[in-house]
Amino acid sequence: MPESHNIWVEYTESDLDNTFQGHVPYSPVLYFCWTPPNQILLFQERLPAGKTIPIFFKRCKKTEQWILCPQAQEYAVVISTKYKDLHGWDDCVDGFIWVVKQTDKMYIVPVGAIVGPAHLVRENATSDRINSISLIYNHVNLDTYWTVY
Amino acid sequence: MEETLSHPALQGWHDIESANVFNLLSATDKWQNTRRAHLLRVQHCQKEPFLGPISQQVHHLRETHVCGVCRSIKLTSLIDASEDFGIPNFGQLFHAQIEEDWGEEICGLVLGYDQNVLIDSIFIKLQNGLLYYYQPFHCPTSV
Repeated sequence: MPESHNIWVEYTESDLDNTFQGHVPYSPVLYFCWTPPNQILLFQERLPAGKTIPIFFKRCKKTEQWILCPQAQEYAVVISTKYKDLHGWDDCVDGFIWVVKQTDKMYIVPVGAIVGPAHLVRENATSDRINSISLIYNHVNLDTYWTVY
Repeated sequence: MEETLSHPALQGWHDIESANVFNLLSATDKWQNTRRAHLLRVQHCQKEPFLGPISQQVHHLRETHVCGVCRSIKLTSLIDASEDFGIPNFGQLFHAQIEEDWGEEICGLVLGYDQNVLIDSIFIKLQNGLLYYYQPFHCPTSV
């Protein structure tokens, strides 16, 4: 299973025990777009309150008229992680926040909910266990960074 | 240091000088700060301050989007993507996400209720990466 990087995702579900300031680190497996069929526009009235279908105008080549089309939806398939401690509390010994990667649990998240890259460091780099433990590396040494880059 | 300072700038707590340093000015703001614009403003005796608040429409504040379309694969079905990327329950995950986005009724009307049929008939476009418009690292002060 290809895993190249980790991302912070804004958490929208009600499981607040497994969030850190409303964010959870995930490992993306696949980014993809899906364009809904045009018939979805016929059902706009049946949308639940607060939900919308993003649309745009497109010029039809044959009739030369502007028509409404649903926008492509951007999603990412991600591997879930779970905080070792509730609410992402840091470890009392080392002060790091630890997460457990749950490779058996995958989710689809909208790309808009992705906040940015996360830096996870695996506890044992050589081990290839299913539920590997990683720490969230949250200290960026900016002096070193700007010296190097 | 620059990273730490650019974060408040992105949040809107900034002035025109810091925005200028971090190259956060929009095209309109840049134009308004040229010498010619200043002279014109002086000539017309405008009361508005020379260094006005900058507009928020800078590229750093846009949402994250996918990028890098796989040109060799135009469209692929959910079942193929499921096998290629090792996502065993892709159809169910997709159905659940659409249901969350637009509700159960719309999801059923558009995608149908049989998830086995869905996995064959839905075609997606694969992407290679993301375009981040936010800070390159998670903010040291908030994480």
